Amino acid sequence: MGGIILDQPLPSKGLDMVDPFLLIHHWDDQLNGGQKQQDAGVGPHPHRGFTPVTFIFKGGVHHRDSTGVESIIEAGGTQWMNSGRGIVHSERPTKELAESGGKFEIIQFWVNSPAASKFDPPSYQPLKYEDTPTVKSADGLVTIGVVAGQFHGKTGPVSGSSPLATLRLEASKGGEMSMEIPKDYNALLYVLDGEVKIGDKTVGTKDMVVFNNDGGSIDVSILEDTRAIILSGEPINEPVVSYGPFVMNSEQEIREAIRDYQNGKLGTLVERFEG
Amino acid sequence: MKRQQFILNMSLIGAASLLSPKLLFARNSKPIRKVHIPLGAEHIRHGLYSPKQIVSTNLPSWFEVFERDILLSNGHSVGPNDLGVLNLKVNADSLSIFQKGNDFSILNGRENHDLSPQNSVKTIQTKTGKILILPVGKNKIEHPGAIGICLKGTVKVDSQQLNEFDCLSLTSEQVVDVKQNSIIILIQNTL
Repeated sequence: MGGIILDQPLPSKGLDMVDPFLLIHHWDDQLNGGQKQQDAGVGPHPHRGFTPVTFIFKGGVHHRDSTGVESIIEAGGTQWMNSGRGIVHSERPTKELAESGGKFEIIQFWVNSPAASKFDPPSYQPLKYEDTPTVKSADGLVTIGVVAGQFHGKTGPVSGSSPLATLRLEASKGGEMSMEIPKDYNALLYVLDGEVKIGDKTVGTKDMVVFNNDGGSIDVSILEDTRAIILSGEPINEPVVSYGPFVMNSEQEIREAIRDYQNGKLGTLVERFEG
Repeated sequence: MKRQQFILNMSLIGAASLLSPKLLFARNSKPIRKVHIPLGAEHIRHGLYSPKQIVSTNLPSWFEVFERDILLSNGHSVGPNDLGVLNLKVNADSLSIFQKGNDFSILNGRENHDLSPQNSVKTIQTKTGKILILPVGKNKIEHPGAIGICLKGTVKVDSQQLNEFDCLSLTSEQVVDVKQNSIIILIQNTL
């Protein structure tokens, strides 16, 4: 399998995390096709101690994990996997996409788990586009998909390990919206493409904005058609030690996670492929 | 009150990241009995962490060794707190050797043992094996079948030189010459 080139706005130089959010990967690709599914995407790998979440924007993602779950979610949907005490999973473009090619675009972000939840049983929550509640701006030009948490009276179907609101934004040029975010939540906005104005700043494609906790709303003006994500959550305020695929509270716990994975205690995933 | 102040645009300058598993290889041409443990990958946060076993006819069936990995501490670029990982199995019991800077340690059960050389042989008992850390200088060894792994510096086993992350299955009565600032561990099967 070849490498995967993606954008990583978080962590980056000078910004390790926006508690409880630890990572954002933006993978935007044109798949050429002619591949077997087993040669595409990301093969089996472990996690412990946090929740990797995938927002799918183009194409579909085929999730398989060591608890026996197999799930395909298409564009507009979400895969929300709490790795808890340990899981092994794979994330691949759908068979059709790998074989026939096409556009593939996802955002994966990580949400830390509080120490008290790091050893919960692993779980997987799929959410389809049509099951994602939406909120529209008064001008009808901004649509917010509510994946988890509460936003303007709508509740996202997915539940997290700590209080948060994770949102998808799609907006047309000229739209405006004042978004209410609890003041004690940390919040960030990442633009997949487009251009928005926040305060006196212009924010464009692949820019990320991290907000201060100095108010309860974010006013956005849409300068160009825009797709973005908004992640907000109550900070966990615990020590974070993150190495590779594990996020724990101490380095000793990381070492034990590595050893436990080698011992098979995080589970085993044997993928089965058609054809 | 509006949230108008923000840290602008951490964004993506040079942040395109490559998740790239590398092929492993092991030197196992016939006259040379030593096996090199290659570096698998350096992992950003996430990372395709899935160490591959090194297959070699020069290694006994009770011993498994996996390619090494480096887990980047800050999640995006090389730094002083990166964690090197070398996984072993002795009779299916997993042991993980960790490297931070010049320091090596092994996790055995829930206990970390320092692997720096002492003035005499240091022994660590595991579930199914024994790990010996040899002191600097010439050590006459009579542990046929034990595995020697050079973690740091260079070590001579009779006439054969082991460099960092070379390993070797020992025959009886060999002289292991540990050079200054070098570390070798011997792993014995006690089952």
